Amino acid sequence: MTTISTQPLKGGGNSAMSKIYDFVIIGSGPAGSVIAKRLCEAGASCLLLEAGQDFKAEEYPENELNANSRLLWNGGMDANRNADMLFLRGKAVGGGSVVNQCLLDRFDDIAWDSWQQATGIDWFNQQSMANYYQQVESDLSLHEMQRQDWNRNAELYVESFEKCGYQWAPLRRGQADCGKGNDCMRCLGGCPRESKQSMPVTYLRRAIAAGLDVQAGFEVNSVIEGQHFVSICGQQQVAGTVKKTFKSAVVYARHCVLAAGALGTTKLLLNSGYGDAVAGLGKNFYCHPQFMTLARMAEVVDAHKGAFQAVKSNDPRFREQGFKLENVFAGPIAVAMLKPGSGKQHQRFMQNYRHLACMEVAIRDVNPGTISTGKDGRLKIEKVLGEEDRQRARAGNDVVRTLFESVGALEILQSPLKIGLHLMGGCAIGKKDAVVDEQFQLQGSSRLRVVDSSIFPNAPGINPSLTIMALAHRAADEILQHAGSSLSTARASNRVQSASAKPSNVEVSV
Amino acid sequence: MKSTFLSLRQLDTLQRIGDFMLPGASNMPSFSETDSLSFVDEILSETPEPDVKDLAMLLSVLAFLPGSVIAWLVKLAQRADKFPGLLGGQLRLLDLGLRGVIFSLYYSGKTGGQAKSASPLQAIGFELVCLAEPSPKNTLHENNL
Repeated sequence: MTTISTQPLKGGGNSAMSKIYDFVIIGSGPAGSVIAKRLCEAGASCLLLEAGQDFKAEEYPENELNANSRLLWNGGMDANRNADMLFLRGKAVGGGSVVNQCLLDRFDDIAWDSWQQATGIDWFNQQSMANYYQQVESDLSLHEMQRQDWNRNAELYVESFEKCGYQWAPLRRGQADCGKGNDCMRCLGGCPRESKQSMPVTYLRRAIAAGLDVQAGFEVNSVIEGQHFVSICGQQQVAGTVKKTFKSAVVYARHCVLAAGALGTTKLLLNSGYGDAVAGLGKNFYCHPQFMTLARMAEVVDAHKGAFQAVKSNDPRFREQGFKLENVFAGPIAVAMLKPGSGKQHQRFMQNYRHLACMEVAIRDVNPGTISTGKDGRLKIEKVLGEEDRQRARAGNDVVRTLFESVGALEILQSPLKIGLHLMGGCAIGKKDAVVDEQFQLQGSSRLRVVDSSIFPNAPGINPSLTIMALAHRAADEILQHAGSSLSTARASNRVQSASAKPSNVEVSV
Repeated sequence: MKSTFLSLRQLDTLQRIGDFMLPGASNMPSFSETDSLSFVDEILSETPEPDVKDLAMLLSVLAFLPGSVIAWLVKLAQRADKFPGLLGGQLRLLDLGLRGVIFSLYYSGKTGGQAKSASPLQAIGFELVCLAEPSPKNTLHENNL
């Protein structure tokens, strides 16, 4: 069994730098981890690269400041060009699964039909994806939130829905045992109980057991395809310094799987020079923009205590209008950022933190954004709301106001700050002239596959995590089918070598 | 107070902006009373180098301005929505950057050695409990995979 390394890669000997892996996987979130597990279990030699650091469960930061700065890209301050929308994405071994709420919903017919229409791919339907969903669902511990899980914020959510005649449903979450009396908002900075079904305690753990090499603190800058292998160039963080220092490093693989998320994968391909050759790269960026509303109640709500999220909107009228309502809250730093301004009045507002209830509108955005990179290689994100998006946001915010008024809110604050948590697109999948084909292969490439939310052709309006993992299972099938016989031969060959105890330099050939 | 990333003058300017943004109200302390600025490197060590340089340069420029002008600039940035196009975007970035650093430090609840007050988190009654011991039940998934 291998372990996760944060030590700089070295040349020579049997180190990662001199070895040619069958696969290098870039990104350790839900897509990268599922792929890594499947490929390793099939006998391929794999290296997984992650720009963020590796944390043991007990090492996740307790403090919101440290969680933001250490677990999110740019401290959670990635903004669009207009600086009115923030994009949050995980930067740690486990990627987004470390900082999300692990809400696991399947896509509905509306989402799949729109994907099929946009791409022409006929397996984009519930029936064809059912097996892949099932695989994930049986691999993870799932929990449907019960009445006894509700905190007061959830109670107010349900009470207001029932008063106003809207439909709600319990959330389904990936969790094993959150115990009693614990405050799961802590999960947003990594779950210290190993209950949340994040990648480090699920797929990644099994992938490592199957022989996966993991290199943390390695940020990939470019991929270069050669005739026989791919060179993956990046910077390895040198541990143990306050001011971060990096060393250049290169690793090699016969094939490379990009799973660094919508922003990460798109940026990497653009910086690797694919922008000219692959039309559509960087286009079709969506993010389910979220609008948070805080309501000051007379009673103490303590929305930060207990289960962080327990219920969701389930009203077909909302789905039709292109939004959903989330039962959420935020830590003090985030709440302070949501309220505009500063000064004494701002501080007095924050004193009411324990009296705040919260709901969030997440819209199914239809106006695509674009992702590009500057001369310095840094991301430039152009994302504005179109008229249809604004209409959806207005409709959702109006409902939230009505809901809070129905339960006697004393003051309602609808934050102007928009947040993108579900980052999708940039490398849209499709049949013809798409960035990625339906075998997850990058257009014009024989050695690069893209398997993450960057392939989404549009915004589904549903939490994407489960579908990302299901698609990764499908992608693994494609890759293994393509590699099939050579992997079997190599496994057989490995067994013979192991039995005869002779050293060999033979790698699995895919 | 020391920082690997900011000079004393830059730190002093950030403290002044912090006290303008968080002057203290009711039982909430002012920014400087918490001495949370001592932890600024915990943010800056994880911030991309070009952004740290931009912040340092901004603070160097602001250091020469009187408090009233800084206050005006901060208020202007907070009204960025009134300005269209590029100017609005730049003002919003300034607002996000300054509030991001100052609110993160203050509402982190971290108090430095020179603190003259309790943490703001105590003042608002914020506390998270999570028993960090993984339960044996949490290893069930290993059998599933």
